[in-house]
Amino acid sequence: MHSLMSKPTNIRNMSVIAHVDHGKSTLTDSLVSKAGIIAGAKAGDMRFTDTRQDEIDRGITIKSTAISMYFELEKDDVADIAQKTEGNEFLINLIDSPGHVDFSSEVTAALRVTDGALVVVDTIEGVCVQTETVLRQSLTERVKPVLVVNKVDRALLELQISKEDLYQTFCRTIESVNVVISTYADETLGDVQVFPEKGTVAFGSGLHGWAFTLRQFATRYAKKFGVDKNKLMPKLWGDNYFNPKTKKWSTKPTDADGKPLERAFNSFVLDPIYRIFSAVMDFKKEEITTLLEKLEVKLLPEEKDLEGKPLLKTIMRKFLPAGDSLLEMIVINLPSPATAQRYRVETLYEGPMDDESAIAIRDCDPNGPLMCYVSKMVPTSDKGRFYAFGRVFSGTAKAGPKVRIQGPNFVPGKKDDSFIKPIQRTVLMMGRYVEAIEDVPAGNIVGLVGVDQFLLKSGTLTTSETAHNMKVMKFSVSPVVQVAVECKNPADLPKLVEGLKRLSKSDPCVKSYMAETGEMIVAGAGELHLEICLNDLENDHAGIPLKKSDPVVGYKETVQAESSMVALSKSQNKHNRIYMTAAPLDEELSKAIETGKVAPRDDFKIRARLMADEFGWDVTEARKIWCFGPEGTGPNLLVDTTKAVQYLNEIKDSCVAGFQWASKEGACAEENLRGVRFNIMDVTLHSDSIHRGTGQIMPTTRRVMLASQLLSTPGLQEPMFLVEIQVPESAQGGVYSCLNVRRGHVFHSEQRVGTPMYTMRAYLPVSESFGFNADLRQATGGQAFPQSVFDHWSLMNGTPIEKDSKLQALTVSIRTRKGLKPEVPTYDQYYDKL
Amino acid sequence: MPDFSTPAEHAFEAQDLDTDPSQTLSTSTTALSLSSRYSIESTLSHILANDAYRVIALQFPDELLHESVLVYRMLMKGFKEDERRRRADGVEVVERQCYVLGDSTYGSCCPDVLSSLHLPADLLVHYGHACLTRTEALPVLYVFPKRELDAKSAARELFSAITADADGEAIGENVVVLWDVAYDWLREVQQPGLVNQGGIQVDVAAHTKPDSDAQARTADISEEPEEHEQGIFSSLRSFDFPDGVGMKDCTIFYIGEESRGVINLMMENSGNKVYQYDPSSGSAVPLHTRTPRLLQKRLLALHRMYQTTTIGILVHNVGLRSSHSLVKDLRKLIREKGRKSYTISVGRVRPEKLANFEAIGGWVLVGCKEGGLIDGKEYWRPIVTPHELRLALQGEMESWKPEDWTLDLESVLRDIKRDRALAENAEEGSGEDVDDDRPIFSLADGSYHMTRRYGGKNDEEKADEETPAGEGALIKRPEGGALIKRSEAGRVAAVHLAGRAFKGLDAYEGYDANGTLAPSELVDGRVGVARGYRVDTLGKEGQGH
Repeated sequence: MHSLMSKPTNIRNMSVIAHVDHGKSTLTDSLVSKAGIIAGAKAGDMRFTDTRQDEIDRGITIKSTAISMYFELEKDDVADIAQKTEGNEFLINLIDSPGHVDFSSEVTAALRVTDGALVVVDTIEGVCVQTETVLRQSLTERVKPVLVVNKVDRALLELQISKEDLYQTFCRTIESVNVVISTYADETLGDVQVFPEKGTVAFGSGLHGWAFTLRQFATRYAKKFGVDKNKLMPKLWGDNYFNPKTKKWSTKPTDADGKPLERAFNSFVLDPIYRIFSAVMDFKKEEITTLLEKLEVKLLPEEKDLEGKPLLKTIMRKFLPAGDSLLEMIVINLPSPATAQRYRVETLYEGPMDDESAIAIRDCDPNGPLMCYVSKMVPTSDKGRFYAFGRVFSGTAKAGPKVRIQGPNFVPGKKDDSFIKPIQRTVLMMGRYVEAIEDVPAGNIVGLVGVDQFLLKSGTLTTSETAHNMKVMKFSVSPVVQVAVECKNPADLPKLVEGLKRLSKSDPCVKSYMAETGEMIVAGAGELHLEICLNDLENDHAGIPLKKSDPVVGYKETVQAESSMVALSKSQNKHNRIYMTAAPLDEELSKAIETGKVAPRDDFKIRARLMADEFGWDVTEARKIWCFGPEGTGPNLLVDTTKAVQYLNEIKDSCVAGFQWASKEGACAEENLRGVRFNIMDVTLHSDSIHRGTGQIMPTTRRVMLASQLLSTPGLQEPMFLVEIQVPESAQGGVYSCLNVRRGHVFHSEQRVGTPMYTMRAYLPVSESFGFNADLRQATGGQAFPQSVFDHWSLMNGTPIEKDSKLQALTVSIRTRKGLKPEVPTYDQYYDKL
Repeated sequence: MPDFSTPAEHAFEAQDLDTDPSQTLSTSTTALSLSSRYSIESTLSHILANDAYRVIALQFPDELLHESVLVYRMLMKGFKEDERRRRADGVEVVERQCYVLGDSTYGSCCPDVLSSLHLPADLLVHYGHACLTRTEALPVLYVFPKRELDAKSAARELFSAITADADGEAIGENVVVLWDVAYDWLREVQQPGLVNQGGIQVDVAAHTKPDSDAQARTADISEEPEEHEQGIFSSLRSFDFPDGVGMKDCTIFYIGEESRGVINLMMENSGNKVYQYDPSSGSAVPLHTRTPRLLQKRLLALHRMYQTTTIGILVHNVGLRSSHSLVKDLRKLIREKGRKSYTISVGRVRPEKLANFEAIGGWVLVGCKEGGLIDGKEYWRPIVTPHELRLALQGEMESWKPEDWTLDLESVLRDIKRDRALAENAEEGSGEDVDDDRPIFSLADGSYHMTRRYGGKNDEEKADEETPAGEGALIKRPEGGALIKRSEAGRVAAVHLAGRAFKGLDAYEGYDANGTLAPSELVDGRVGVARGYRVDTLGKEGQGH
């Protein structure tokens, strides 16, 4: 294994991605069984990569799991590999990822360390919302996809559809996958659309353990007919027909006499499969025997007595073993690290493209400086310790020598968030097990021991003095649903704190922190995610009984108009006055700040130009943005619009501190502000610096901001889920009524071609989403399957300062929860008269 | 300098937690005469019994100052009578003098030792509510407020509350009754009413009015290992437990209004059940259900401390026993842990005052049992207790235990000493390289924090490393100027200044390129007071100065 690891051309790092319940883990079993890790007979039932008890109980994958496998390609097939290779032995590092949208952060972490993706799509359900999401993610990470159309057995057994219909279904699925791919395609990555005739699409059944690509049939027939298989492959797909009488290929569906011809795909590929299915399921013993001889499938004596589905499974697995065909497809079509890192380096590395680290990553150089990205933490059997799971992009990771461990806040040249420590051990991740290994060269996926103490969730390891960070992963989900936890027994508090720390480490997306009120908050992407996290916390990380609050959502405070008058606050010593107004920011600008398009660290001239061009700002004002907030990065701005004020620069630090504070805790409900611009209109300061110190200015800035916020029609923004629901037409009414009750609205509804299923898209307030899935199931008789993902912030109607309004009631409830005075403050609490 | 002092309105407006008007002497039990309310008789006899008490300081809380003259007169009258008597008896005459202390800067719950020492007084008589923290340097006589209490109803309410709460479970065997100092005068009378309750062992806390001689001696704690259990003992409250019973086995009854004192009591005894009987409303409520939340708030402050490199030691009250040695020890501890401390005393603590010290990332408050904890949202930086600071400096390795939480300064001192001894032993023993620079998980924002350290063992090595980086950039030192030693403190301040947008005036103004200081010309400065300087003094010679 180790010798293979040092040949980056013969490594394939790939993740298995798909919509929930499309059969990733089951399919992965087939691949794992090929590598001999589990028995072939068990493949499909075992779900080897679902290692946790709750994964097994719930039947869903929660954590992504990695396995390294050895694969030997037929010598003849090596020639088909378009990229550079050495020999016919390959190392495949496979990561099985969860499909549920709440766990997409796991997918992101998996994609970062892989170069290729096996996209699994259900024949019947087709491309779903999560298929699209993960495909988009993989393409932005420059990960090349190949496709598996899974659950073909269902189409045959349950739906009994005809060969031509099945072909059409395949076509549609492939077509819709290609639409997604071309929408998000990256130019550098080239054309990565998938085509059966090129061997980048496989069809199969993970449950039964069989799969095929056109290559296999082409090889089989090539031997039989003595034709070159590469010429035969394109013939087996599309509008190609074989006339058995004339032994000629044609592109027309009829022969010279006008008789219909059977499509080559149907007659050469689907026909044998259909015949096996019908023979076995109708218990035609003789036919089975002849078929088996024809297809050169040999059964073991004890297998001959099987009947029905078990027999079908056995035959199909021998006829078209999934492991072989899929691994072959992966090895031939997915890029090796040596190939992939050449074009991925730009999206991976933050620093300049010509420094030693960038060059080493580009060349996947095992002798260059170590560059290793840790994308997540995997719990070890030793409680509280973690394997740092990541990929070596250049150099060689080995135990012993000290490396620089750089956290996400590391800035080159500074010492913040970086440590120089040795790696204690390196291991290979093998699903449920790990295997110690002495060193891991570039291009491999690795587990590191001893690094977990220095990184919370992710980070960069390097031996280069000058290395910048590898780019931080961008997740498609954000933790918007929160729960406050409390331990039943105060003596357990230390355990809870430790548990929250471990929980934070073990999941790329979860956030745990303490609110100002002393509540311990756990925030997750959705209800399911939170449920899993809290279970883990209670039973594993902390191991103590917990009291959990009902899930709540965080709101954002904003303003809806310009201030009705200029707010004024005086400092405590009455010697300084600050005049300020507040105004709403464009939603686009808020988003641009949140996505980092407009960032505090940008050069202020370039930023001002961008803001003038795209958001209609005045250039001189845009240049005088003092800071972003909260946390110095948020979507609120403090702008100096004063003219010639003496000593103004001296109080800037104090103002900024006050701004950070006020934008973190707004006036109405002490939630974060979002989309507010504060203009300092005028400042009068005492001429002696001792009287305009931080103690005077900072609280005053905060007060005047709160006053100006309350003077500008304050509002609240709530998080919205984008819900995609797959539902049959008959149950659509239930979906509508269910959404209406919960203030949701459908904005898109479309029938899936060839099925009675509709795909509906709706916006649903996160605060109304608790219990939505259960209600929907009830309203539609279990026929609707929703997937919710955070989409945007939406302004709520009304204002919290209006007496007896709904929004005020909401604000009061938030304030009560936080242990504040229930009344929403009025502006004159912060406003001082001249 | 207005920001450093308490505004004048304070005397009229401010009502601190520890000086609830209903707890004061004047409004309580008005049926009693002035002299009995102020226990003039017993005070006099206490003073007259000791000839050494010549200068007597009288400390009143703000609300009682208006009666101070009456008290003063009564006491002086007593002294004069005594003098006359002595003269008549032909004994040596002792001239005594009372002084009323008017400064309540450091809160009125603690004896104002500082002002007394200025007199210097031989005895301090403390009137009104007291937090019962031990003080040193001079004997203190406490005169508590006196209020009425219906012990029967208190007992009934408390026991019904405990039974309702127990929900069928067995009620703990032991009950400790604590009460607000205002009810202390009723102790002898009322104790039977509380104790005679079916089958439950009831202990009643005694408020020690300390023996003056024992008080006067300055105790060295290290030589006096106190085998008490933590908690209530450290103050002037005490009780005798029967054998085999400890504080931990007891349920606590508290009689009195809700105040900072009872909140701290709950937190110091987080393992115990606490029930409070409020005499004004006449009902009893369980308090321990709120304890976890209170402790979590403290934990948050502790976690926020992890990130701070510059710590302000805020001396709230100077007279407390062992506060002086604790401040010294904390300073040492902070230095040992590679951080920088400033010791600051601002009198009454207010957010604006503390915010003036923007370089300070967090505060540790060395104060008494009631004023030793400030938990205000208005404060910009976290304020922790010495106990919490000790844990914060230890980092994650020291596990935080709720039952250890204490405001007691002496136990913190002991802990610090123990830590040191342990650390020394560990160093001698294993010599293992401890990773004390690993990042700390702070729950304040749910992420890892690396703490910057200054000084320490490998200081020199670090200094070399830092030089090329921005923060430690070379500083040009003018020739002939003072030699700037790059001490650890200097570096903390330099880092702070480097991070600021406003750098202040050029420190080397007036120096020429060679670094020599050219003598500057003398000019007239500004004249006047802060409210309004007379800026334009030039040209109006003869007027301004």
